[in-house]
Amino acid sequence: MNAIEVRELHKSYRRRLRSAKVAVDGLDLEVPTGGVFGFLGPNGSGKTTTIRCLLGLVRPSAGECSVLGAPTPNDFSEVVGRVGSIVETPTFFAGFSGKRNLDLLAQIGGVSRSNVDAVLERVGLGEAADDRVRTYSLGMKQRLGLAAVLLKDPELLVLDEPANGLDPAGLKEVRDLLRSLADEGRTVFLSSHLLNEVQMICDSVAILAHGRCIAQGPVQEVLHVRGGNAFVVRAPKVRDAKSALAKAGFPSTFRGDQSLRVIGAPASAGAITKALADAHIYLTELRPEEISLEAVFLELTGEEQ
Amino acid sequence: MIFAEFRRLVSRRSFRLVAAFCVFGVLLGGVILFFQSSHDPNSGLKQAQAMVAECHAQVNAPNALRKGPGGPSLLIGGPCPTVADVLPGFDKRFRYAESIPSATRNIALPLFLLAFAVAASFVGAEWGTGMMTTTLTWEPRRGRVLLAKVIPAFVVLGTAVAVILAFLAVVYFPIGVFRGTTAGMTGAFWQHLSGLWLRAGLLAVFGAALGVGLATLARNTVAALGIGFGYVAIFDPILSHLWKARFAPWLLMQNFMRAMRLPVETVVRQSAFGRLTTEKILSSTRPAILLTIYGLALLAAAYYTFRSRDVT
Repeated sequence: MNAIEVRELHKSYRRRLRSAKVAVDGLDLEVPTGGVFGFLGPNGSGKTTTIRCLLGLVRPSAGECSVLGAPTPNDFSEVVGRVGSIVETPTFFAGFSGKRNLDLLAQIGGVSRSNVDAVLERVGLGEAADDRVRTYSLGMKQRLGLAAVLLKDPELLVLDEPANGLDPAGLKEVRDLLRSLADEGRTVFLSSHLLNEVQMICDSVAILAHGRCIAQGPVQEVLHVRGGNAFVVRAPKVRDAKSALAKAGFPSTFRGDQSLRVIGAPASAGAITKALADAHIYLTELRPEEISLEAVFLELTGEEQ
Repeated sequence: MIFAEFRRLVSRRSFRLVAAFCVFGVLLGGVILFFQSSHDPNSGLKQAQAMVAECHAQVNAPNALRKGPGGPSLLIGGPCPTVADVLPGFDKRFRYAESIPSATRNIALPLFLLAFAVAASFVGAEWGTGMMTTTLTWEPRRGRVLLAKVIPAFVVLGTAVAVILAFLAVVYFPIGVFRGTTAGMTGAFWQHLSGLWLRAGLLAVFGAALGVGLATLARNTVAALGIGFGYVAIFDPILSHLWKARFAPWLLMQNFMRAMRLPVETVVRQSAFGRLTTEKILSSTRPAILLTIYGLALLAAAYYTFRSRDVT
């Protein structure tokens, strides 16, 4: 069973004196149980609206969503105790301390209040637990949001930009935390703009643009769809190397660091080596080009636009 | 969830500030009254005598008030009163049995407005901070969420108002004993006074219903307060003065005032043949029913809106 399933989801918002704004336009999504699932897309692509539909905050205009097998929004209450979520910036009562906020949430959700201290310690807010939320930095509020999520001991975590406002050390802590949660068998559904972070911790991703899913699958698969057909070649005479490779049928372009980007199938590494050796050019480096998620994301979303 | 909302309401700074303000106001009023009142029944004797003497001085003064050929008997309002006539007006004794019910009735309106404001802030703050999103990710059944706010608001604010009025009666009792009179404190008095506390408490519940309802509809404290106070300060007075006969019985403030009156009111009527009859009418039943209907209608509208609108 998938942790999250979305079929033909449409959501449009009515606007005064203007045509309706389409936020999600026929989205299909399957999030497998277990692991970290990255949910990517540029601003306004429909990520947060999709998350709000999943959590029953917004009613879809058309289509179906289910979370842990329960159709939302109608039956979301059946599984809400197993789903922890942060939607955009976590919000709490500013006049209450972090601990009191979590205490109230625990009481609302029927969760044991004895876990409050433990989750605050786990996200690094133990010392600031009794401070008013008003005095918290954005990063501390994010940590408090994560603590609220962990309070339920959830099977599924739906996190919308949980790393916003965190410093590098905080980013690493959150990354390690999410990875450890996934390793415990939980499903982490992570919407983020920090593509390097996503690439580091996600097992699968979906990329949205204009309310539609334009790529979905395990991270390596998504990267290979767009990458894996180029090499980085470094040699002493880079201009000569370029012309030798061109004669052998391998088009290339200069990179900034005295190396070449050579287009060729993964199996053509030997042929490239031979072509250069035949021209008495002996390469110092040959490696498959690594495609970053960021590059794929920009390429895909750029195409869409 | 209801208990969490109870805790949240009583922990709110606005609730505590308003409660402290009310307690302070009662105490301050008590201190002022204590020093302004006197146990002596003749405490105003000098002022009464001075008033009567001044009246006589004006009458006896040459040319004073002699406007017609008939002489001094043309005084407007008749002859000067005696000291015994005007003495009660200057009596500084605090008459507990008369003053407390009157004070309770007068304080009920400000307390109703405070209950409205606290309830509006209780719900409006949750929308204003965006905390409602968080709450709904913990309890997505919106009917329950609204109910969990309505019940604590009703119980806490209704009880708080009744308790403050009881506190007023307790604080002012020593003033009646030491600086006035406690005559008239019969069983009927206590029955009447406790009835007033109950009514003021129920009107505070009505205020809480308006506050919760408007804040849920507006999703904002300021908007809810603006609508509420705008109605009380502008809309209700204008309507009741422009179309008094037609609309006044249906307006909020008149019904509020009537609900705080005695339960039974005696009205003297004159028939077409000139015969006078006395009739007892229940003055507070109709307002109570009307206000209950208004409150429930507003809460129903709030629930429908809350249930059907997206939370973005």
